[in-house]
Amino acid sequence: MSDPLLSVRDLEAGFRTHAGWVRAVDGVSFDLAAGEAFGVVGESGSGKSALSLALMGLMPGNGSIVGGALRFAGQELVGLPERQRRALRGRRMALVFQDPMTSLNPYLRVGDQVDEAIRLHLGLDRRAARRRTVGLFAAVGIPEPEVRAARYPHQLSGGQRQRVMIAMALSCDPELLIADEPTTALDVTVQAQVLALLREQQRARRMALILITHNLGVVAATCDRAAVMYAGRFVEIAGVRELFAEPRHPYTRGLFAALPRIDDDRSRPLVAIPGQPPRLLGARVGCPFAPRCAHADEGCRAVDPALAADATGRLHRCLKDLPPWKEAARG
Amino acid sequence: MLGLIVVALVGLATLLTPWLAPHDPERAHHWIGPRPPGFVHPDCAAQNRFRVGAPAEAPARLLAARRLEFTVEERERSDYRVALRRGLVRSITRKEGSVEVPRLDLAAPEVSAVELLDGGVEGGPRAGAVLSVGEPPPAGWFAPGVGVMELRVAATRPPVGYAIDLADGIPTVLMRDGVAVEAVALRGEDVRRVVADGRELTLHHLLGTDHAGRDLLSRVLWGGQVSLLVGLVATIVSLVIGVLVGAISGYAGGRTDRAVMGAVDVLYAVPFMFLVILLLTLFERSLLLLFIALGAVQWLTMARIVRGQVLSLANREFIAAARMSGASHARIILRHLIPNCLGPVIVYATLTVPAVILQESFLSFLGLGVGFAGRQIDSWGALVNEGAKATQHPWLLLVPALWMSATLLALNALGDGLRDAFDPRGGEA
Repeated sequence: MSDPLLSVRDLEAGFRTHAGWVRAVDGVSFDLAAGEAFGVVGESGSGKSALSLALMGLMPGNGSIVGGALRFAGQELVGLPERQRRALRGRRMALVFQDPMTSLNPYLRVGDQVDEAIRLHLGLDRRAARRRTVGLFAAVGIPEPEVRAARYPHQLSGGQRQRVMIAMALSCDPELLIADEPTTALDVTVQAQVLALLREQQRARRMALILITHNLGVVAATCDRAAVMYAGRFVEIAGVRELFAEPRHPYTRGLFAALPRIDDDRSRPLVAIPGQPPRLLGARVGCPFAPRCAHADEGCRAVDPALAADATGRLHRCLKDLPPWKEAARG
Repeated sequence: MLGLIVVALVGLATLLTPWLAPHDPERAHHWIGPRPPGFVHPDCAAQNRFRVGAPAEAPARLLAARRLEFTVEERERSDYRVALRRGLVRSITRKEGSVEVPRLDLAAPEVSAVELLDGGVEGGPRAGAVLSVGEPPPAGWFAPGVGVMELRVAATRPPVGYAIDLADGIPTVLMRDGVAVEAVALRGEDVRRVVADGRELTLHHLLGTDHAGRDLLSRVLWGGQVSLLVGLVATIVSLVIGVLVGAISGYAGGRTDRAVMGAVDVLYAVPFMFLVILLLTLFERSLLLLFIALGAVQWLTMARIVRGQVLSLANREFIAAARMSGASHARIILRHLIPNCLGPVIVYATLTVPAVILQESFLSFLGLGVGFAGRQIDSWGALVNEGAKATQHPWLLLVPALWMSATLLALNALGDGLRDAFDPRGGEA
């Protein structure tokens, strides 16, 4: 592989709160090649959204990146002055937000909001920017793009708003698109359309995509590679095929086991991972998943495993070398 | 909707005041005094002098005519001085020649008007009473502790007709009851009728006149210019300061926010009205100073409102989305935050306008009001205060007070309307 587009090393970021420092992103490392689709899966509170904000340099006022390195196209982003960071944002790396209801300014016509990014970054005049916006709207499948561009957000449906958000993110042909749970707020049929749209645009533009979601199915449908996030760190990274065929980390296995299936015996109770995700406060001893892990022993509670390749060559953070996973054996 | 119409009408009337106002608000008709709404009188000045061959002194409207006919009820005026001692009339002195008279009969048929010049109770002395030395004065004439009163008693004579031929404003022929005379001096209050080239000339005072005989409608219209201007400009001053300070404070957050809002709290504690009064006393009074002083009082609340709005908006995703697009802080504040705060800001601003108008009228009451464009024109507040003192003539209070109340009410309705209009979710959604 040539130089990766994005190279993240031991990234640490968190938030100051009244209770103390929250380690929302705790030593995340990964590489992303140009044009690759990378999924990040995790449950609520695992630090997925904090990761996306840290990558974009959009940490809120009480949050900051405290360690690690973040190289994008050969440029180090940690510690980069805000002005240069701003020039990258929206231009070369863009973010699609979770909730299209709240991520569009209700007082601006949607077309104007997309124009804004185009004019800021590409220096186009009003009319050229609008032509580009209309083209983008057509590309993301908004019918009657000229008419819709003059609408306010509340006049569009949720799916259309998310298409507008995607158009806005795509407006300057970014090399990296981060989609933070882009379909969570949408209903299922629209979800599928939006995912197909993201995939299609990602391929057509040869754009790298980081898709952040709590939905394994979404990752399977969209991504080449995926990471499973737990307690602010990646507990397993693998190609999507390998990950789905043979999850290696107990947490990943727990996630798969928790997926209900249509052919399940209805009388069988739904499987859940016992316990709660750990609070990301204070010092950490041992594997953060140990309290919930069926395979955990004293060693797990004492030693924090590193992300390392196991005997099969798969990358995960577990001291144990678990036996092969047979899906049929679950439950 | 009604509010919108009223505000539009008041605004229009205020803008068009120089053309709309029926009279010069400063032009006094001393002989008239306060007259109720609807009062009509002949159009002539307090003193009209005509001399053959010399430029005449009379309103320009009259001098444009070629023939003027006046019907005049000349009145003889005598000033009397009445002195009391121990509750009884001690002396009655006719000022002309200082002649003491034993009796003043105000019930005589030729007495047409009794005017109080000095001392006594307003509205007390009037025709129909008899004053005699050594007897008590009629009840209600003298206020307790007042011992001297000056009266002007007018006695009518039969009407006289004047006819004046003019050429370019210069009289050529003067006739008094058909007899040619050299010069004529007519007192406006005696004139009953003016006919210019066959057309009767009258002045209508739709809303009456004040104590100096000035047209009340004109004064209210001109006063509106001052009041609304002060209200609008001071509100705009407070709007600009308050919105910028509030938005920056709320957006910056953290230490900046605490420092700014702390400063606002400290300023809240300053008795601003005193500061304004001090400013207006120390420096030369001008409209500009008044705008700045009143605006500086009002911006604090505005800053708080905007800051609160911005705090709740700053965490909304579209602000992050704007940052994601690479927008600068200034751009986010001006284009994304402030427009989203406009609803409450506009509502509060329309409430600020009447508040400022009221404050200005308070300052006017203290004698710190300000004229307009070099003319000493009173604002509505000054007119209301003036009217409040003239209890005998209720329209002097009612007209400006109702006018002002209607405007303030309409401004509030306008605020509601604007809020609805500015909310894109309203209407067709």
